[in-house]
Amino acid sequence: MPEKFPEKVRDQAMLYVLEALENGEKKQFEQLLLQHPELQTYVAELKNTLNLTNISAKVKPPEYVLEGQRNLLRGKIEQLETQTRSTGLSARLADFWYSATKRVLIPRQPAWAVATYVLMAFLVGRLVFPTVRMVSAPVAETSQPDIQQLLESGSLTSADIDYSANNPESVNLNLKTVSDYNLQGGLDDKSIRQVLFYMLKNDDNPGNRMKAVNLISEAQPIEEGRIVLISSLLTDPNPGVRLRAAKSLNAYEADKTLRDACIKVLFEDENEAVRMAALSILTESPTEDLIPALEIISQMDKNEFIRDQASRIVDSFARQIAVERIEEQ
Amino acid sequence: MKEQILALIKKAQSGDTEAFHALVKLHDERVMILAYQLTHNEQDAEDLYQEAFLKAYKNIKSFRFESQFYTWLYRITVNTAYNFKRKQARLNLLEPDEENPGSHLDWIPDEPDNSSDRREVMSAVKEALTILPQKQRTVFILKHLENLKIKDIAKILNISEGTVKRYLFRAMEKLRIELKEYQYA
Repeated sequence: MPEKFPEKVRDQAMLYVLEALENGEKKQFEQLLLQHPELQTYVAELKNTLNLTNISAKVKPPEYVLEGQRNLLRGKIEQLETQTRSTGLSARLADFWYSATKRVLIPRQPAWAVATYVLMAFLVGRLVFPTVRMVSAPVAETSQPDIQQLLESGSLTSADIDYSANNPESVNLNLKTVSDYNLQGGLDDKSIRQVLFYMLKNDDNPGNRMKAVNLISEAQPIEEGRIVLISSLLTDPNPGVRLRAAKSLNAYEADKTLRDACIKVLFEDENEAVRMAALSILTESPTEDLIPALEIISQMDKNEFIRDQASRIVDSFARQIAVERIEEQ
Repeated sequence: MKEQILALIKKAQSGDTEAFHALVKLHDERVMILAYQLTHNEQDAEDLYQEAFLKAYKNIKSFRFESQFYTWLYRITVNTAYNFKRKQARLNLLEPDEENPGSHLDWIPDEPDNSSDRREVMSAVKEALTILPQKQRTVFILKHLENLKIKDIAKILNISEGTVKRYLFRAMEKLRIELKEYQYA
C-alpha cells in the first residue's frame, strides 16, 4: 500500500526505479528497502510498470522513412529560401494587381487539353527512353576496353565509382565485364560520361545511381546528359536519385520535352521534394502552355508550398501576358 | 563527434544549408522517435518532424552553445508538439485508429514474441500513456523512454527539477494503477 509511506519515500521509490537517485541517496534508500517488505512490493510494482512501458520504447522509424523526410525537408528549406529571396513588398503589390487581372485576361483551357499534354509527355518518355536491361554477353578481352562496344553489347555487368578521388577533372571508374577494367578521365571524357549515363539508367544499386547522377550534374550540360537525366527523373525508383536528376536539370534549358516531363512529375510523383524540384525548373522559364496544368496543380497538389509556388507562376505569367496586351493596344 | 557537431552548427549559423542537413541526419532518428512517442501516430510524427526541423533551421542562429544541440532540438520538438495540439486539437487523440488498428505498429521492429498478448499489452500501455495529462506524459517519455537526466528535462520544458519530479511521480502512479492487471502477464 503506497499510501502507507510518506510522500518523500514514494518519491524516492520512483526515482530509484528510474535510476535518478544520487549514489548516497540510493544507498540510503536501499537500506530502507531492506527493512520494509511492503516498500519492496511497491518498488517491484513500479519496476514492472516501467518494464511494460519499455515495449512502447522499442520504436525505430525505418531508414527509408527518414530518408524520405530528409528529402522533403530539403525541398521545404529550398522553397523557403526561394520565397525569402523573392518576397518583397513591391513584388507582393504587383502580384496582387496582376492576379486581379489574370482571371479576365487568361482564357482557361479545358481539362481534356491538360490530359492530352500529360499523355504526350508520358508517351515521349516511353518512346525516347526505352528501358535497357543489363545482359551479360562476353566481349573480346582487350587491354583498353571499347566502351561503346561494352555498352552496346550489354556486357558491362557492373561498375563502381571510386568516389573518394572523384572530381570533375579526375573520375575513377572500375568496370566489371568478363574482365575488370579501370577507367580514368575527366567528365569531359566521352567514355566516362557514357559509362555514367549507362550506370544511371541501368545499375540496380541506388547508391551507384546516386553517385553517377552526382557526377553527371557536375559535367558541362550536353544533350545526351539532358535526355538521360529526364529519363531518370521520370523512371528511377529511388526518390533521392529522381530529386538529384531534377536538380541537375536546372542547368539545362527547359524545352518542351523537359517541361512536359516536369508536368508529368508534378501530377504523378509521390515524393514532394521531387515535385518541388520539378516545379523549380518550370519556375525558371514558364510558358503559356503550362498554365492549365499549373492551375490544376495550384489547386490540387497535396503540398501547400507546391500549390503556392504553382499559383505564383500562373500569376506571374498572367502579369506578363497583361503587360504584353497593354503594350499591343 | 561533439567537435564535428559544433563545427556543423557554426557553419549552419553562417548560412551553410548543407551543414544544417548534416546536423539533421545526425539527430533526426532521435527526433522522429520522440515525435512518435509524443503523438503515437506515424503521420503526426512525420508532420512534427518537419515542423520542428524547419523551426530549427529558421532559428539556428539563436542557438548559443549553452546546452547540447539535441537538448535544443528536443525543446523545439516538444514545444512544437504542444502548439501542434493547440492548432489541430487532435494530437491528444491517441487512441488506435479504429479502421486501421495495426497502423501504429509499423515502426515497431519485429520481435520473436509478437504474439497477440504482447500486442494487447502494447495497446494497454499506449492507452495508459494517452490518459496522462500532456506535461506528465512528456516528462515520463523524456525520462524513461528517452533516458534524459532530470536537469535536462527541466531545461527542455523550462520548469524546475522539483516540478519534473512531481510530474514523474504522478505519471508513474497513474501508470502503475492503469497497468496493474498486466504486471505479471
